[in-house]
Amino acid sequence: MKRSASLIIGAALVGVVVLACLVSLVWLPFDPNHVVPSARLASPGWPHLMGTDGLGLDIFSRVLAGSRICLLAGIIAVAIGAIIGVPLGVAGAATGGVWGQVIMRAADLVYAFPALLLAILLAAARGGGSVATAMVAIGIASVPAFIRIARGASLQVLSQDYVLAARAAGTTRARIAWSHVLPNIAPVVLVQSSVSFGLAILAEAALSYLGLSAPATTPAWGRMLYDAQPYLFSDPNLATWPGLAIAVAVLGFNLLGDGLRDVLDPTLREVR
Amino acid sequence: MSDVPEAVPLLAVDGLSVTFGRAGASPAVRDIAFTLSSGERWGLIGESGSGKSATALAIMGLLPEGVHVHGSVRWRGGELVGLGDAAYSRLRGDAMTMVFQEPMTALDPTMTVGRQVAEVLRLHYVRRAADAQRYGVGPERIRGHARERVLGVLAEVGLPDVERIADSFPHQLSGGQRQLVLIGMALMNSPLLVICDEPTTALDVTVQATVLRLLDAGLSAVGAACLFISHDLAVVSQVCSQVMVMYQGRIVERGSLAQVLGAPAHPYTRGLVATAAIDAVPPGERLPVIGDFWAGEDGGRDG
Repeated sequence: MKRSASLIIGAALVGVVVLACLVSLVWLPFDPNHVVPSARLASPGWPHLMGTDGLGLDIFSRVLAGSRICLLAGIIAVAIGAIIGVPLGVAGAATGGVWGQVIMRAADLVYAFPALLLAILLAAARGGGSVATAMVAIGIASVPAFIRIARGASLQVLSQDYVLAARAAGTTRARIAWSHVLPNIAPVVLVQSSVSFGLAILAEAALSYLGLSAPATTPAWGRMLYDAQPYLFSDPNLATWPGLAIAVAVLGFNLLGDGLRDVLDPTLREVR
Repeated sequence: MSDVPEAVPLLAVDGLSVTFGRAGASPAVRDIAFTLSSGERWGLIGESGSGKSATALAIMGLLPEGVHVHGSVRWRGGELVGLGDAAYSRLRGDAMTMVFQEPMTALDPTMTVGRQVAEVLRLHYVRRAADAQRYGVGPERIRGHARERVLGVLAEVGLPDVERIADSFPHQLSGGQRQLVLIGMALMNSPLLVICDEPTTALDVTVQATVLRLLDAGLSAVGAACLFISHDLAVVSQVCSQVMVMYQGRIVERGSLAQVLGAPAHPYTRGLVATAAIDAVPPGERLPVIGDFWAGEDGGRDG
């Protein structure tokens, strides 16, 4: 397997986020919701490695704990996007004709709807923002990308000789989709999952910044940015750490996606 | 016309035309007719673009949507043109199978060879009552015997070290080995008809001879009829006893191999036979081309 710089860097950054999440599940230096008014706006140092915020909460603990919401948002959004999008994309390619067109136009319709707008609508319909609403909205918004990528890759697989040979051996269309198309488009779907993961993290951060995702008691990076706003010029420290965390996570998943594409897609590899 | 089942040919093609693209475009296959009886082996020769592969795909019902097929293809008396995909799928790979030209791409790269062979078995296992009897179990139990059957099939087509080959992915096998696997898959359900579309064209000459010998033996073993498509008279003559010559979508000549090769009636066939006899040309002289014998119906310009 070819070495790819973006794969290694991306995997390392994603590794840092996953490690932070795992660590936060078993150990945190301070309770992320324990308000200590006497310790508010402390500078980075000991015992508050990244300082404290306007309520005296330990920023390091909140950044660590915030990785949970970040990864959860990515996992749920990618799961919804892939589980709905991939079968529709494969079906669109395999059936062709009118149904293929219907699926693609429906995908375009959802595509035209920004994830943020969708989340605001869902939140309004449900009478308030919540983590679940935000993640479902992000997931639905990522469905069209999966439909498109799965359909394009499926069309390419369906034009291969081994599909014709399988048809000549009596394999039905449905079985070809299951046993030949899905395994062969898996690398492309994996790349899209990684890219969508990064986008979902960014969207979740934006939603929690707007107060449409996690409640204030749940540590989330976007929410921390919002809370840091009054202190942006006096204490830029408050915004720097969660901002950096979002950047690391998004960059990590995007680089991982790029790297996987380099390694898994032979046609793109030759072009470079 | 007779009502006796024995008199109904295995395959009867009548007035078959295939048009790619818009209706009204120049057809790739023009109004051809032939019949194939059980056990008969016909060669179908012609140059690239003469409509051989389109004929094969039309019989198999594998032409893509949007390709216009007219005329009649009867399988043991039943019409195949317009048959639904589900009914066609039961026929394909079981009673009627096909071997393709390009062994390098005809196997799925993500599946082991053994699994792909087993797949062809499983697709049709419910109706293979003969197998059920052979193993003394009901058809539903055949599934468990797939591995033994797969290894047996691979051994029958002359592959060595069948355990290793069954566990290999296609890229780990040579082109010749892959084509033998594909021939094994085409023969394993004891078909009545095997359509071979230039099965040895992508192989080098020594491998070609081995594959042809094993294909010949395999066809004889299951008693299948064969439609063998090639542009190479020498290859056709190793498998078939009768031959049809196709040119620009039409069958221009047909008969026994000896008759067509010995006394070709159509000038195109004369050209084909003469160009195959390279050893008859004195060293230094220009090799004959088909154009020396036959300029085509419209001056040989319009393909």
